[in-house]
Formats: sequence, structure tokens, C-alpha cells
Amino acid sequence: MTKTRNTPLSILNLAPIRKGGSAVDALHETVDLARRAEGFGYHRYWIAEHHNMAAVASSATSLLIGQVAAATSRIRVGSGGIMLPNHAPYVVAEQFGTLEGLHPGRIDLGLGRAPGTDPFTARALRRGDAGANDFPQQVAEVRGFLGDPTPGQRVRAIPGEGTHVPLYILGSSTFGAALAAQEGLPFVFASHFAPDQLQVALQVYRDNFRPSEQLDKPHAIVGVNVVAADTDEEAQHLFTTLQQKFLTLVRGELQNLPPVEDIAKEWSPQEERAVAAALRVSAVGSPRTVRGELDDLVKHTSADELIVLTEIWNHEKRTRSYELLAELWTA
Amino acid sequence: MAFTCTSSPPPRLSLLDLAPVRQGHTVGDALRRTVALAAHAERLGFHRYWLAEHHNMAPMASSANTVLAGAVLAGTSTIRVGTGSLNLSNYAPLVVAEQIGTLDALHPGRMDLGLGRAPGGDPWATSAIRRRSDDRDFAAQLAELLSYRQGTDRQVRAIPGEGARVPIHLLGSGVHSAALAARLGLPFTFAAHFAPARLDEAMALYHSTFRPTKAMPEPYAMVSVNAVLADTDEEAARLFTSVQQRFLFTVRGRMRPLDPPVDDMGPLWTPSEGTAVQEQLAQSYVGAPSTVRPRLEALAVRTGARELILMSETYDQDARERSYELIAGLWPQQIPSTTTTSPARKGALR
Repeated sequence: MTKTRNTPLSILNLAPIRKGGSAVDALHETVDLARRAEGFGYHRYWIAEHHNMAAVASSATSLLIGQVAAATSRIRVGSGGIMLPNHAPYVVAEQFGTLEGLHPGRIDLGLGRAPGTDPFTARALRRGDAGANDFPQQVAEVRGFLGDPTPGQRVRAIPGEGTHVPLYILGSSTFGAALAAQEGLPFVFASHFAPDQLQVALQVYRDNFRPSEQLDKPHAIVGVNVVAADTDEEAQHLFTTLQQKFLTLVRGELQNLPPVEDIAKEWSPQEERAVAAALRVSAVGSPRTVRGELDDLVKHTSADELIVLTEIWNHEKRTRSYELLAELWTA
Repeated sequence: MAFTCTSSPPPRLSLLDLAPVRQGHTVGDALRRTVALAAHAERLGFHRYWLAEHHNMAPMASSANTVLAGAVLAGTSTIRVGTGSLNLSNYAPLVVAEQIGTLDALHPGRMDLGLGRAPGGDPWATSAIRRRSDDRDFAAQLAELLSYRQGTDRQVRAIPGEGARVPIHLLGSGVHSAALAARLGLPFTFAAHFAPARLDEAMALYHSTFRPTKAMPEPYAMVSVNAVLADTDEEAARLFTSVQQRFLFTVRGRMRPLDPPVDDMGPLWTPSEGTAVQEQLAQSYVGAPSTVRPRLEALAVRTGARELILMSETYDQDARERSYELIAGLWPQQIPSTTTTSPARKGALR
């Protein structure tokens, strides 16, 4: 239990749009939550990247990071992650170099392989042939643009070069784990929605890690869903928003819905199993319950850091969940 | 041909910032300086603050100008903020729509999207920016951008971005851009601060061929020029030598950050270099306010510009703030009329 308390806590935010709500509200709440998370003492606040999804407002990730960084003063702010096949590495380097120049020492660049968006969006993003297979090469390019310039270098990221913005590899498989290990980068496992390979990926990461300029020993960050409330019953009720999100995802169109009294009425046994499997790494309950769950998670994964997703319909209750979690960490 | 009469209100005053990197200072310094200067400009009552886009150029820190515009928006509360320009062919229109949508959601009604057609960088940088070449013309790219804003693409949606009310401006330094802006019924800004040769021709063409739309019943022309003001003509001329040196090194093909001013440019350039630099900087308004005021008024009358967007770069930062102050004091700033390009605001203007 003592180890858990030393494990840094961070936040990952998808900027969820409520069903019937607006992207404007979602973005304002994203900035507001960041301000309050900084007050609660969280280590990082990361923004995800999704496109063409009515329920998610975090499409212009680097722009939203800039807004969050400008509204806060100490917390680290970054991407969780930039889906690199969607972007030119040079443009990513310029954007994050700009963010780092504006907010020195506070910016993280988490990188992921885009999980194949729909073909229309892929075309609109000009993805071309750049696919997941080119990911290691794209990571190397970004790293090159953010490193020190080399003699004769024809294209320089200004801002960007020499900033050494720290990179993080996001993944939900052993592929990302192996890449992070080989490059000597921190590894972030997306166990909050794809937990199947969590243990094996962490094993691959730690076994193969090679120290780099950025990092001398492995740093594994584990994603976890948390819903904390005053009682277990209240937390389970609030958790039905996230359960329905995955249920609607399974059914074809992801939605953020208000909590329901009886989730069993909403899904078939087969759907229930699918949702439960995706949300297996979740800590839901009173502070006491959540503490026990997270202690177990840290014990079983030896996570160096937890990155927490809390999706609750009501913004104040969502913020309160983060506050309760922070309180048990510092208690 | 008279575009305005002497009884017209004086042109609005706005600022263009390339986030100049100074010799001996970091790129980060330049970025943070731009945010601080924009707040200063807001207090002085300027109408807009636009950020340029340049890539792979050591003297300019504004490559990711939507990110920088976001920082300026977050650091101000009333002034209009925009890109001047964003080079649309460098980016997927969906990405631009999402970016502008994000900023407009958090800072409603304050953002301008100034678009340009030039790449803003050398061929190597351009190929690093554009992973795939987009052979369509500007109008087709613009149409795609507008389809996301209007939500008319049924398969791909910009979220955020749909319904964002961000005025689009077209920037250019040639007659082709002027004609395109006129044909599309967009506001037009002529970039005379570095390529002034066709200024009068382009402005005349824009006004004479403008096609009114419901949103834009009348043309709206802006001119960007260099303006360095100081308390005396001599001091302003000295401050301006930093910009002259920057252009000199660019002419020589070795761009470098902004140098401190010198007493005399004569020893630094050959006669032909001096001529080349002075041609590029022909639209520069350097001096004490009493010297510059009549020249800028004449520029607005001659070109029909309703707004002047000024680039005021000096090496010394206090001098740059002072230059901004003196520009703001050239004439009283009008309360903006209610046009679609520039919605009326309260509190920003004196």
C-alpha cells in the first residue's frame, strides 16, 4: 500500500460531449477540469485525439493542449496521444515546439498508432499510405526534429529543434511495448479500454528496455477508469455512463448518456460480457473501495504511474471524483 | 478612381506579428514575447492581431500559427486574433476546420482565419509539411473547408468546427489573389510589407471586380505594411535597420535572427543589395508620428484600404512596445461598424 501512494497520478481526457450537449461545453469543461486537477495535485493532464465522432471534442489535440496549458501554471500537459499516421511529423514537431516554447518544461508528446479511423475521415485527413507500419519511422522523425540540429540538416522545426520535448509511446499491444523499450521511451498502456495484453506488454517493455537520453530505466504508465463517489452505490450508478458508452460503441455509435438506475435492462448478456471485458481495469466505488482496487492494480502491474480516466455525466460529480481520488492519494 | 473620400473614417489599425527571433535570444523567448505584445496591443485598442506562417526559417517563430493564435487568444480577452495567413494548401481542410472550431468554441467571435496560397517555406520544408500533394486549386480546398463548417459533408464532420463563425480573409501579394478574393466575395489583404510591387494594381482589381454576396455586400480591403515609429525620425530610422539587416541576409540567402540596430547601413550592403532590400521594403513607414501619419492616410486613400495591418519589428523590446503605442495614437480608433467580417465589440476600442 505504501508504494501506491508514491505512484504519480495523471489524467487522460477525451473531452466527451454529452448526448444532446455541445462541443463548446465539452471544451470549456476540459479546461475547467484541468485548472481544478492542478489544484488537486495531479501530475499530468493529457488530451486524446479522435475525429468525426459526435461524442468527442478532442480532435484538434495540440490546440486544446495549448488552451489547457495557458489556463494552468504547473501541471504537465500533453497528448494521449497524437495519432501519428494522421499527421506530418514535421508539423507535430512545430506544434509541440511552439507549446514547449510557450510553456517551458510542462509539455509531453504522447504518440500513438491511429486505430484505423473510417475511410472517409482517413481521406479527409490526407492519411495517404502512411499507416501503422510506418509508426516507428514516424516516431524517429518527430524525435529528430525535436532534437539538436545536425550539420547540413535541410529542414528544421522552428520552433521545435533542441527542445527535446519528452516523447511517450501509447499502445494496447506488445508492438508499442517493444517500440517504447527499444527507443528508451516511457510506455503508456491503454488498459482503460483494451486491457487484454496489459501484463504481457509490460513484460515485453521491461525485459527489452534500452536506456536513452530521455530515460534511464523503464517508466510504465497504466490507464485505468476511476469513478469515486461517497458510496459504492452512488459510484456504481455514475459508472453506468461509461458502461453505456462502451455499449453504444459495441452497437456502432458511441454516445455519452446520463446514468441509469438499472444497467441490466440496457444490455444483452453478450453485450454485458463485451463491455465488462473492455472495462476490466476500472476502480469504481467509495474512496475506500477505489483505494483497494488501485493498490491491487499497482501491485499486479508495478506501474510507475497511473493515468486515470473518469467519465461521469455531471461535470461537478466528475470533478468531485478526481478530488476524492487525489485526497486518498495524499491522505 | 477614388475609393474613398476625405470624409471617410480613418482606416482601422491592426497588427501583424511574425514572432521574430532575435540574435542572442531563444525561439521560446520570441513566442512568449508575442503573447505579451498582443496583450499590450489589446490595451492600446488595436482591432486585430494576426500571426503569420513561416517554416524552416530561423528568424521567425510562428510556424504553428494556429497554436500561437490560441496562446494569444488565451492571453487576451477582446482583440480579434487570427492567422495572417494560414497557407491552406499545407493542411488538410478537415484539420483546419477542427483547429478553428476549437479556438472559436473557447473564444467565441474573436477569431479570424486569414488564408494564403503561398507555401510559407522552401520546397524541402513544404514537402515535409504536405505528406501528399493536393493538386486541387485554392477554391476547391476552400469549398471543402466550408463544407465542414456548414456541416454539409454527410460522411465526415468537424467536431468541433461545425457552425463556427470565423470570418475568412484571403491574403496575397499578387493580382491573382486579389481577383480570387473578389470572385469569392472575401475580404482581401495585400501583403505589401515584403512584396509591394503590385499593390496598387491588385487593390484596384479587387475593388473593381468584387462580387457582392449576402454575407459581404461590399469589398473590404486591408494592406499590410512595415511601420516603425519612435519619438524622432532619427531614432525610428535607426531602429528600422534591424529589419533592413534581416532582409539583407535573406537577399544573400542566409536568413538569420533579428540583429541589433546599426548607425549606418551603408557599410553593410553593396549598392545593388541596398537597392534590392529597399525595393522589398518600399512599403515601410518609419519615423515620428507626425511624419508617418500623413503617409499612412495617403496610402489608405490611394488604395481604398479600410484597414491597415502593420508589422512593427524592432530589436529592442521596449522600443517595439513604444512603436505600438505611437501607432495606436496616430488617430482615434473608430468603433467598428457592424459588418460580417468584424462584429461590433464592446470594451476593446477607445
